[in-house]
Amino acid sequence: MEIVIEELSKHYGSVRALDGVSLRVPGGMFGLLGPNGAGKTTLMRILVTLLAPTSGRVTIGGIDVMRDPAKVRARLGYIPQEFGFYRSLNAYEMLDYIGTMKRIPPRERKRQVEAVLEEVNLTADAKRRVGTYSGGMKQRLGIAQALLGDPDLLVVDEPTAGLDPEERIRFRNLLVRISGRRTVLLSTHIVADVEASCTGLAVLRQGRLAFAGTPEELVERARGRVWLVEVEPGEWDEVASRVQVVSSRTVGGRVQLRVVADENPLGRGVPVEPGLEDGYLAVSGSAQREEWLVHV
Amino acid sequence: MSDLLRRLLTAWRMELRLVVPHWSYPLMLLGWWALVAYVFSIQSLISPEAALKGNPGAFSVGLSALAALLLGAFVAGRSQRVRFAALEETFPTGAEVLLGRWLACLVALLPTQVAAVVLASRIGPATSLWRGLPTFVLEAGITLAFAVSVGWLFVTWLGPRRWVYLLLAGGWLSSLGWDVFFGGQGPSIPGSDLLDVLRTASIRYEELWGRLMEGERPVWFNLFYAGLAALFVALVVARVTARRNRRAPLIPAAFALAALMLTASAATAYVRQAQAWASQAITVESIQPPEPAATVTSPVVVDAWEIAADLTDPASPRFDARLTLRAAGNEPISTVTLTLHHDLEITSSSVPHERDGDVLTLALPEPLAPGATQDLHLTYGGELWTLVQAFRPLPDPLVFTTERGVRLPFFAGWYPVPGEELGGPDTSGVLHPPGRFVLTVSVPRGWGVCTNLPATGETTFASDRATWAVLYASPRLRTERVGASTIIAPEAILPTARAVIPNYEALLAEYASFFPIAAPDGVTLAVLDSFAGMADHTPPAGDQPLVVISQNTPEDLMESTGGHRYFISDALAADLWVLAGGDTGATTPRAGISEYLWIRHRVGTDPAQFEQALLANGGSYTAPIARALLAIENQRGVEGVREVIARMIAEGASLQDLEPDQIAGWIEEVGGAR
Repeated sequence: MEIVIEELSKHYGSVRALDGVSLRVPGGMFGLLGPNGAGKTTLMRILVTLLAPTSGRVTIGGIDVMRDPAKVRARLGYIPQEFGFYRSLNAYEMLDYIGTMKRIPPRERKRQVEAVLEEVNLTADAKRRVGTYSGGMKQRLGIAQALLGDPDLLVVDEPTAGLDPEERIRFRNLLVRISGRRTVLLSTHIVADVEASCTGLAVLRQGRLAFAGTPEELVERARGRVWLVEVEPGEWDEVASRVQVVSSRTVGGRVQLRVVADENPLGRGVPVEPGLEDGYLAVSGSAQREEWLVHV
Repeated sequence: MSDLLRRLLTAWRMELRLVVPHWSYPLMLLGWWALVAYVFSIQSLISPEAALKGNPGAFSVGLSALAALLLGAFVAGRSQRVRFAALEETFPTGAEVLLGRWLACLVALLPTQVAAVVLASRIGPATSLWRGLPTFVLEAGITLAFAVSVGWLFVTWLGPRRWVYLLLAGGWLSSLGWDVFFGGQGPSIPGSDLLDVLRTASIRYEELWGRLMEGERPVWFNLFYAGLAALFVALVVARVTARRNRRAPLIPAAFALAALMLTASAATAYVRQAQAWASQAITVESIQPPEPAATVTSPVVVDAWEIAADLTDPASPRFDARLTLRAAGNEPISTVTLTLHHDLEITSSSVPHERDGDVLTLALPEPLAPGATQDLHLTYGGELWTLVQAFRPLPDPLVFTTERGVRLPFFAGWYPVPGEELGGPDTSGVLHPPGRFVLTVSVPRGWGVCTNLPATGETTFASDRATWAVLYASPRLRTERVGASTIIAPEAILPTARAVIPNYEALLAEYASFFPIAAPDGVTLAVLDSFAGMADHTPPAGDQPLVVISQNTPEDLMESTGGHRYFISDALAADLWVLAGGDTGATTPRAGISEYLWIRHRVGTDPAQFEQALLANGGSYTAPIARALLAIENQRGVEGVREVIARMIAEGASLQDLEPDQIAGWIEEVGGAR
């Protein structure tokens, strides 16, 4: 299911949460990366019809989100960054209710509820009150509700925030498994989540699109610009002020930094093979306005 | 079932599922029921219908309105509060979810009225409960729907903030003060009580007339709040729909417009009626039941009235009156002046006549010699409607002929009386010289009739010495014989009245032993309305004392042995006085006997206790007479008092000119006190 975003802007007074973003997501699992405040959630909320943009146009599967939001909702599954359920209900009741709201016929609803509970591995806990669920279980229940109605588009906003590493990996794998024939739009600021699951991605920075393409293309953006350099502890601040530090570790009283920089830092850096995180930092560090059409 | 309806019902069921099992819900119900039970326990309860349509019912609904405001706000904000809104906003749903939840709120609140209904059902007959229940449920539903909608609207506009609850509760509390600010204590603005959602200022329920005293206002009131509830819901739906669909919410807007028009129309009609009533009303200082007193002076008296009142169309009754006029003076009379209410149009007259307001002047074909009589035949009819405004902000109809009841008190001028004066609700009513009065009444099927004249049949009444006459007719009114006694009361009050008749009879028997000439065989108890018309001291109905009490003094009915209210005692004593041939104008000696009988009934004949009770009775004006009668009894026994009372009756008119001390001296003298 193709998503086409054209010149999308959203202003809150003088704040430009989104500023002329154009992007095409042809399908598959697509990551949306960006630091906090980059505009990811705003973009997501516009896509799922919760927010009206200030200007621009979005179509999902050919349906104009602004003109026909009800049709979009009928084909949509959404897991917001923060959400909750009625704590006194159990998972089955909650999903059954949501299934009705998603216009699933009664007989089909029962089947689907059981299927999605199975899918997210909550069958055994289906009769437990949601109020007693852990964070990870709630996230899985969030996915379960999003899957009800077999939506063509799944929009997932920062799903792993607050999860422990084990739950995060399990959740990520679950997303990959269910992405199958759907379009899954995954918004996150955790590069590893995208790296492990997405076939295409875009990077937002300060409301603007900084990159759109495949993970490999993003990695290529950093090729020749990633260096390992050993510095004295006293030099740290100077280096960090001039280049983007990806990671650091202490080796024998000195500090080994992995940095992204156009030039060899301090003239003693060693070029290394770039990764996705390097590519992300490479593009998110440069805020020039660009418009890409992405072909994943 | 359509998909839309299924979602509405699911949302409704889910909200009930969330509200009802919550621990706070049964707690709230228990609390509410306890408060309602308390209010019922301290209120005068006349009948189930009166309880539901009167103050106790209004309190129950009004109290629940607070719960409705808060619950409405709570439910409206629940989804946002638990962050489920983040999910459900993306579901392909419309206004049906909101409406389902709103409806669930309403249904969840209806049980708050259970206590009122259960308590009301214990007051009187089931027929009265069934008559009041639909209106009560409807009005409770409207009020609760309105309150839920207000709470919903506030949260939709302001968000689920805690101070919204305080704001709503404050608004509810301030509405409690309406009666103080705009009722008896404050400025009276006709129609302003429409904004008194708790109805504290506008209730006018009378068991005999139902809500007739409020005119059509309850209908407009209900439509106004139903319209507002619909308007607020439509506004909420319009706002949510506009936000979610990003287009003008045409259907909710049209619905809101229709609701607004309904609200405005109902408000206009309500205010218009209130203003019309206010402009029509006669302002008086009091509408306490006056007592017909002074007798009109006229050169012509009416020896006999024979009136056929056709109330089959109660809104426009017709009367056929045959009068026997007699010249009472020393001069021949060629014109006769009578008084008849100006709204009663004369359709035929056996003699030529002229009208000037209430005054009817008849030109006799020949001068009427002193003592001679002349028959007069008149037919007349029309609609009567008199509003009186006393201390209350809203006027009350005291004289009316409507499809829901006919109320023609003695000052209504519904039959021709000699002279040019009728009296009024705020003055002592005027008596006409006594005459024979025969009244035949035709009423719609199922209606009851009440007059102060003794009944000679189901719908015929006659008295040989009537000095005034009232005529009430109501579909609720019933007359029932209980042994030798008679009850005239609204149907719902009959069981209560029936139960206390023995108490009245016992008191009557005790008093009657002092009036051997009177020899009443029972008592007639009339439980009517709370307005002027049938006075407390209504003359006896035939051979029976007639006790008229207000529906608002049910304690008079409820009390069993010991402690009858003084005025009931006084009414019995006064009627025994009249039945024994006493002069109605001799109020002082009569009141002295009444006080003696009352104190004696309560404490016996021990002088010390009697004196103490007299003092406790307020050290009344007639206390010396009571003391003197007790002294006679203690010296000569009851027989001695009987003899004295018989002498007092015989010389009542002359005693009236004496002071109580002088009357006491006279009693001791004629009673042979040592």
